[in-house]
Amino acid sequence: MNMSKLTPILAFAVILLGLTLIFKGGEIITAYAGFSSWNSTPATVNTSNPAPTINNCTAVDEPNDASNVDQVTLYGGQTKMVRCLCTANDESGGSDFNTSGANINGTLYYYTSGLSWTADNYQHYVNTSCEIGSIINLTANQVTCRFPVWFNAHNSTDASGTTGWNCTMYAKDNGGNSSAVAGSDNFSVLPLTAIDVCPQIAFGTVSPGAISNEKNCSVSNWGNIILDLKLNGTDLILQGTGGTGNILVGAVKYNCTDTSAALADAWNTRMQNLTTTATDTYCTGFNLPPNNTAVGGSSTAVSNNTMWRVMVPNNARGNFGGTIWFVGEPG
Amino acid sequence: MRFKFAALLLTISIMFLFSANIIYAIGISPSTIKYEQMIRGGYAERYITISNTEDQTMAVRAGVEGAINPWIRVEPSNTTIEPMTTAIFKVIAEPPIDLANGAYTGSVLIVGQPAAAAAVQGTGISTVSGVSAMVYVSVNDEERKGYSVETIAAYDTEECRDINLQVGVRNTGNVRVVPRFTIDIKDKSQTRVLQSKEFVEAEVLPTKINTFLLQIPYSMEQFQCIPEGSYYADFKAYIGDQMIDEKVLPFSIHQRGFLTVAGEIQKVTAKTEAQMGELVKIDVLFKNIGKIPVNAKVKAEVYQDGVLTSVLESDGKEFIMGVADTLTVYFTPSWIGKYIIRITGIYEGKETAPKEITIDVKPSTTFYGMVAGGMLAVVGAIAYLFFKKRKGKKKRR
Repeated sequence: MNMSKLTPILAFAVILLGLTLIFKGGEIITAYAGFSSWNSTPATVNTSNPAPTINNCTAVDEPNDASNVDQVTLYGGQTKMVRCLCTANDESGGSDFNTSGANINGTLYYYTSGLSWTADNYQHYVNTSCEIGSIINLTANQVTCRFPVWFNAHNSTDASGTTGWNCTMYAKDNGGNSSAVAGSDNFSVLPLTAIDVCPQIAFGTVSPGAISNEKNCSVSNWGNIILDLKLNGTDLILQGTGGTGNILVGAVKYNCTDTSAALADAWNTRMQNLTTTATDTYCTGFNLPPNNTAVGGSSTAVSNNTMWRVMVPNNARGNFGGTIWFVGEPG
Repeated sequence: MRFKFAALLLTISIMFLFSANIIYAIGISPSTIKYEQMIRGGYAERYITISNTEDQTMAVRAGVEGAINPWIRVEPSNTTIEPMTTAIFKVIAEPPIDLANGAYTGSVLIVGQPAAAAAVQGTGISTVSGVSAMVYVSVNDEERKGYSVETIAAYDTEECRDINLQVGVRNTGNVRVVPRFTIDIKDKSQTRVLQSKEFVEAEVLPTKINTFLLQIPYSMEQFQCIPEGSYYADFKAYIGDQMIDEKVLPFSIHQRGFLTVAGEIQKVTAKTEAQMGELVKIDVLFKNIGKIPVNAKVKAEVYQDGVLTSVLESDGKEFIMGVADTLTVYFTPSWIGKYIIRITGIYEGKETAPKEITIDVKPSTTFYGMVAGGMLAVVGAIAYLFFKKRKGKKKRR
């Protein structure tokens, strides 16, 4: 190449370099200094899969009948779903949970049972295969544990000033790294009074002027607190045609607490007259406990009998029917 | 023999299987209701849930017993509860202004109604179950003002869209309270405040929970949109000038189009028969099933005999994520016949799949009157012309 042709190009390049040094020189020098500094202390880059963390947990029943996210309302004789929702963070990325190696587990427990208790329906529930939910952001996922909580789960009324129940969750990511610190949330289980009663009390055929035999009517506690009773009823009205008279409500007597012996004098001394208005005087001793045995599988009720007799007046003839209200109240 | 034994075993197993699942019970929770430190002339409410696991619908009535009876009420006072469902009752306490300070007790009763007369052979009694909850009220006439933040969430959004927080507060005092919130939107380092807003919300009654949607503008200085990235919402709750709660919530701003914008019509409710000229209310249950709030309205195209006769539109409404609410359009049929109404939800420039309903419009009593009147007028006119003509003929003769 002809040198005369190169001269203007070289001159232009020199001018450009000069201008660059004037305007950007400081930055280049600073950058170079930074580079030297970085070069002298090389950064340590951890290429392993870091352990996840769990936080922002919320335990709530579905639906939240109490309109209070800290209170769980149970249903008589059934299960109620309690959902524990947390955020699982993993610096490797939220998608690190969406793999077969990942696992989320959760425990729902009453404070007296502790975290490492054997699962039962009364105070300790475990779920080892919780759901990995939607990605919140680049490093976080929603994770959800659901627990079908039985009607007899320990209520929080005597939880010594605490809410009583806690949901704790752990996360394991694809690399098998488990969260060292669990996420948790406290909540209370509200007291539940739930009752089931025999559908009817059939005295059968009773002679006019006579007192019927003792008939038992079973009452079951399908709640999580001690059950007492309030009772009231109606007169027994003649059913159909062809008879006469009525049986007044007071001619029906009951015993809530002692149904074991059919004593001859029980009618006069150990039984109470039924009334038309509810009274809680006589059945406060019913004290039917909830099922507080710690078992797995389905929960069952605790039942006890109430004893009933009727005195048929001399003038009564025919079939008579009435109604009794069994109102369950907290004991 | 083996077959019989196997059949017996199978029968017993099936009986056990079914009997294990059948539980007949009525339940109330909570079965203890407390109203603490109320003031005279004050207001408080609690909720009780009644569960019916009986195999039949229960008609129940609610009542209050004890000294609290005149100033505690239950809503509703009567209802029916389907098998395996629940009903929620509100128990409202309003101690009168002249009530003495002190502790009061009573109970709330929820009892079943007897379905029918006793079906007992011979002499017998049918039973009806009920449940009650104990009620404790203390009245001390000392005003307490307070609320707590029960729920709070900051939602991801897109560039140049508002930032949304939803907060639920419970009035924990015994007088009305007006919540005040401030929100600072901060960058990832939580050092730079990009946007701030103060909210003074509507008053909340004692013990009630109110939920508020707080929308923060998407722009920062010089009206630029906050760019995509990770941010924090620094939420503070105040009573007057006193801060009672603070929460820092992470959220992300994504590029436009990243988050799903979706809505659906879940249900359309309207009468299937109407009279001509009647105002027909069409309720459309719209749900936001996307990831950002939407402003939605419904459009209803009215067809008769396949011809589009009119287009109706509802007012617009803001829908937060996961929320379903009713949008209403009104239709006044001007003529008889079958109308097909095609309803579409419109939100953020999108449309839901249409849903169709049919309304059969019948003549109204006014219409019959008008027809009868018209016919009478025509007959009268004909008669008038007829007699006039005859009169004219007679004159000519």
